[in-house]
Amino acid sequence: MIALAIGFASILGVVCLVVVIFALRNGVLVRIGVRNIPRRATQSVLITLGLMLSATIIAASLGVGDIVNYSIERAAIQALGHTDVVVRARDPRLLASDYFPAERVQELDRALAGKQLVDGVLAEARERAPVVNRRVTRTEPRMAISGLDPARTAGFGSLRTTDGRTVQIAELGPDEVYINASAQRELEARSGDVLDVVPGGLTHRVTVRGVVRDGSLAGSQPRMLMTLDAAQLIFGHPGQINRINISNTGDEWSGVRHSAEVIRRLRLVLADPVAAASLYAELRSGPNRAALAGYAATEPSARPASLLKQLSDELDAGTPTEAFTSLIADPEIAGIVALALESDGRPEDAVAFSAQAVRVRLLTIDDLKTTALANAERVSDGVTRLFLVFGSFSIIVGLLLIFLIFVLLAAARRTEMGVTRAIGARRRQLVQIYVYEGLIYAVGAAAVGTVAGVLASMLLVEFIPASDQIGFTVARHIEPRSLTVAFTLGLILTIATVAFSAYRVSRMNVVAAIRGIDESARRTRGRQARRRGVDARRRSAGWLRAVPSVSLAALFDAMASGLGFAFRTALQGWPLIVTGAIVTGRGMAGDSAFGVRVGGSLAMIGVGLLVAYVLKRAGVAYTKRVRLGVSVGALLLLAFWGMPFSLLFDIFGELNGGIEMFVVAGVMMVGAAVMLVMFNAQVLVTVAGLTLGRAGRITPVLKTAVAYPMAARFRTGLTLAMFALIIFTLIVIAILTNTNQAALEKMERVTGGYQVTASVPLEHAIPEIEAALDDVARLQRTDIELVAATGRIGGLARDLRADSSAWQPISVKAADGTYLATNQLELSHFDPAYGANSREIWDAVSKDPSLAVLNTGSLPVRFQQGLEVRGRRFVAVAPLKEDPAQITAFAVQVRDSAGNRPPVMLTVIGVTDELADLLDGSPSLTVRAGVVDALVGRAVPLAQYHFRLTAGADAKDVADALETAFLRKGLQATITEREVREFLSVNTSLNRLFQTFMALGLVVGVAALGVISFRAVVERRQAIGMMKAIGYRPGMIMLGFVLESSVVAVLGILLGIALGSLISWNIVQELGDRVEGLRFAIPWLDVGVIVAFTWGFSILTTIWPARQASKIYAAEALRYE
Amino acid sequence: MAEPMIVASGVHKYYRSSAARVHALNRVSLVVQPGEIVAVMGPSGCGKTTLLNCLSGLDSIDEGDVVIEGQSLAALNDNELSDYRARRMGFVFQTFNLLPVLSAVENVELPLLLTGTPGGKARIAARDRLALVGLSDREGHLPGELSVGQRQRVAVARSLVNDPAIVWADEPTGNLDSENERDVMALVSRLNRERAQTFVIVTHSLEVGGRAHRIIRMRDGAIEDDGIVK
Repeated sequence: MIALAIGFASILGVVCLVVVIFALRNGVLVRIGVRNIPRRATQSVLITLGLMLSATIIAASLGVGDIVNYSIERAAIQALGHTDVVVRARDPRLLASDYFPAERVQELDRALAGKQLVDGVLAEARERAPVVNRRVTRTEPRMAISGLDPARTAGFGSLRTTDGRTVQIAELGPDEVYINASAQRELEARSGDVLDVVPGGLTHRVTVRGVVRDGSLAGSQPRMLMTLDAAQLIFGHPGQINRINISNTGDEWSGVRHSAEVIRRLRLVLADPVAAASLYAELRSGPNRAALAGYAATEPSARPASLLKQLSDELDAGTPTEAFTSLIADPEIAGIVALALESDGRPEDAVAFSAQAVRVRLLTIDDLKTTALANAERVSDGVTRLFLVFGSFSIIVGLLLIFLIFVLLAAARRTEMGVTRAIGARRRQLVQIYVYEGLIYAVGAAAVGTVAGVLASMLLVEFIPASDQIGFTVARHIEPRSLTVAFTLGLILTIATVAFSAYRVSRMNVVAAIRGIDESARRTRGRQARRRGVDARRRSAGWLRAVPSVSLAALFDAMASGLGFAFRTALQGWPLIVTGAIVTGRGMAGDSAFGVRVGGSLAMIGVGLLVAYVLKRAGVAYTKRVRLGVSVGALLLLAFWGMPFSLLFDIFGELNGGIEMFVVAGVMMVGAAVMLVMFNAQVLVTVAGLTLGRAGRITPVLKTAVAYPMAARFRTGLTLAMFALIIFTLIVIAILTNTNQAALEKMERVTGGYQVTASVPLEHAIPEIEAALDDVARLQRTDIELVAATGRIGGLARDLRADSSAWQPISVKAADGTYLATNQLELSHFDPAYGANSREIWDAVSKDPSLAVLNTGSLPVRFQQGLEVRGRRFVAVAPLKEDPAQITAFAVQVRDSAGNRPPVMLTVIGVTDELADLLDGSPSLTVRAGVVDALVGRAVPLAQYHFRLTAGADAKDVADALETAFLRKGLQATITEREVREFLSVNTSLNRLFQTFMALGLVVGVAALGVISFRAVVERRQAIGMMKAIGYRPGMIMLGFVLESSVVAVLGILLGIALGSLISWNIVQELGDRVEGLRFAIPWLDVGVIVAFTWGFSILTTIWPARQASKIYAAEALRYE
Repeated sequence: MAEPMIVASGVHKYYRSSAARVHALNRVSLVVQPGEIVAVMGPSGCGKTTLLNCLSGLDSIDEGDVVIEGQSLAALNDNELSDYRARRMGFVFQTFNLLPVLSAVENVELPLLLTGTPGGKARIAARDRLALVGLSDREGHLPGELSVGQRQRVAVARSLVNDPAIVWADEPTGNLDSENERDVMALVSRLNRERAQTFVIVTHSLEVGGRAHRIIRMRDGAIEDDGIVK
């Protein structure tokens, strides 16, 4: 983003420099341009408001991204407090209670001493355990219990009670604890309450000494704080700890900058020198060095090669250095070395190396805060990107408005411009006059727009759901770099549009402008005459004589002339057809949807132009041939963009594209539809004339309300496009949001058909859950039909069909026989060789431990449709999500994330559908229980339980009974249907956020109608006088203007609805191939609200100018010239 | 004797400018009989157009009274005045003031539609008036596709379509060449003869004045001379 800010600022600097050079060359043009601004203050203010909208939308997009980023970062910072780095036992994923001697803290002190890198090293014993408030019988099944060394809390921030007092851990007695505010809410506890802490089934009684605020050492989730000694006693690990927190020098935010150096030093002290020396000797061997060098040469990404180079330099040193130890203790480098050995065809050596590398690391170092902040950045990048993509519709609409404003401004000053040209001003000087004036407006507009965008983003985030649903609280914060990008980009876009508009309006016939008559008839003759004149000047001047007088002006003329020639040639159509064919071909070769779509569109436009050109050669009248040419081109474009995706892929083969294709589709379809309507407006007028003849006295009002906008093809077309583009997006969002609700109708395909799920910590897993249920007192045993169990570990996987052999993170889910036999998750893809339907595939996995089912989140996508959070994760090579359901089974290698066990080869025979992924779309692989044990080399307990209830059983009663019965195990139960509904409500809230954001674009469309209405009142003043003279009542005049706007607004709305529904239908058809039962349905209530809002505001905007028109005094208006 | 078509008594009209009050009409009184063609002439700025606007109810007056067909305009509100104009008056302007987005026949039928005449009936009447002014073959053309003389004839047809008692014309030939001017005035004379309609025409043209029954000459907002031509 900083690079963008600098880039845009530089472009803006160059633009300003060019403008200043031109301004210094002819100051009078600046004065002419600028003097227009104060002449009509109200108009200037309106223009500035109109111009500001692109900056507003950019600022709003970036602002929302900033706010999301800051909010997530703040949540992370609040959760971690001053802790930047954490040192833990070697493999914390499986057993949280892996303790080590507390003396390690002193070693860390020594390693970090003297460099001002850290301001605190805190020993901690932390576990999760059930806690019961005896006074009100409230329980928290898995509260974090944190025992802190009272002598080492300095540097980790102060603890403050909810009433503002600062307290110390050292003040706590052996049976006293502090609880944080979150824990207080869960337990309804207060100072003095006696709580039961139940770790490992033994009850310890403690007293709440005080309630401290969330944040810093108190964390942001329910937490209990006690002295380290007390915790060691309760957990049964005297003299041991399981965590060392390190606070870098600086505050909660800035300390993270020292993390890299702190970790480098920690690796040295936490590495086993003997193991490191052994690895050093091994890696120095010839074959290993060759393997490393070979891998570095073939690895496409720069980072592994760079790390291997550093390692190689250390290996050259001859003896194991500190730097080598630090490098080899880094799990990332160890992983790369293992890959290098594997790539060399020695998988056994790779596994052996990984096992040794793990031994080098005595403890695991987690760069917690850096990781948390990077995750926050990844999510917010995705959010910003999504907003910018959707916002680009509004930005395009904003630019159309700028164009419209300047064209209307030029129309108002046509006579003045004609006179200026008549007295000797050149066309480019007219352009300059406009650009100077526009630049002033643009600077003001970009500034105001940026501020407005920031305010809009602050309001928009109100739609972000409550913190308990999304995991963070919204905090409003905008980065200065975002303001810079919004201001500079808004300004650049506005200046570019102003310059283009100025060029367009400068192309006028002087006589027609002065006399105020239609110049379309004169244009062709004038153009021919100009061309003859230019040719004559060239002949008489000669190129040799022209060379010494080369100036900016001559350059400008030459460029304009060259562009003119290219434009005229392109208008013959064939160049576009040829270019389109080439671009399409390249797109097909690269499987690029963008290339194919853009190339195809160019060809379609080319065909339209060619039709017009051929008709011209055949002597067909101008109006007719243009109408036919445009209609053919527009219809072809609509057919091309509206065709079902399956047909597109049948014709052009596999294509890949991102969400930006949605923007291109919208622009092309709306552009084509608007051209089709505007160039066939006479049909609408005729139909209106035939049907409106019986409307009594308002018949003439209705007729003119249709006829006027249809006659002003350019401005009506622009406004139609604005409305249609925005409505198009809103409709697509509304329809796609609606399809999400399919999950509610197919609940079993999201939940697997289990109404309650429960989980316990790994160490408290309940192996005989069925039997254990018999002893649950409050549970009606007949309520539970069956119980299935699963377990999950973090692993790494790679698709053996991929070019790159990199291992990527994946979650491996071990399922017991009941789960595999009873789950109702459907598969979107499967290999028929293993079963004819989803059930048979699950049964196959149940029987064969070498088989697996992947989730849909592990598949590549052809078109990214939603929020894309980039990062390391497993993605299979094929099939694409969009591919047909039948696949051929493929092999995937999986290993545990530490990499010190041999990988396991699995055959993927099916992929679960998108509904199964609704709650968690991260890559996962489901296998038979036991496979995971082989992966990690020990038994992994199944700690998640899935309960299918009998008909009529109350899921809440069952969940409550389970939590109560297994309190000592820390069991947490979830009602799955409630979880799905909550998820969908979050989804709906976020879609509302997008819809509201898009409504900003509607403001632009409505503003355009207002601008046009104001202009129409001025332009038609005399006609209004005549109307009044022949008997129009004031109310009829007003109604006429309001109806005119309504005609444009309603037409735009209808186009948007039609095109949005068409593309949504295509998307739903595509999705429907993967998710059976997904149906296209238009949410009429949403559509009704959108239509009513849009139409209502368009009427409101027009009422003022319409009222002014109705009040025009006929006698005065008739004098008006 | 028949009731006068127009009776103006002591009509006074002034405009406020930033510096002073400008008397556009200075206690003007006149009577126009049914079927008369009255030309109002005089130098620029003498108040001719203001007089026409005030007599036709397009502009308000500060003093005096205007009575048309026995109805005082002062007694009518804006909507009633609009309705009255739609039923009983026709207007022709120097710049034609046809709606550019409607065809010739649609422009002509407008006044009838405003009075609630059914569309079919209005269309027949509009075609009839276009035939009267010799433009039957141009009814589907937009104003921009007609010559200036033809546009003015369409404007005349529009002013007659509702069979008005009075046609007000403000410089109807101001934008026409002499041939077109003769044609239009011949048409006015014929219509006046055949339909006994009253015409009040503001003009600089001697040709127009020559076809009027009566010429009112104005100077400085007052009637200088009110003479019968024929």
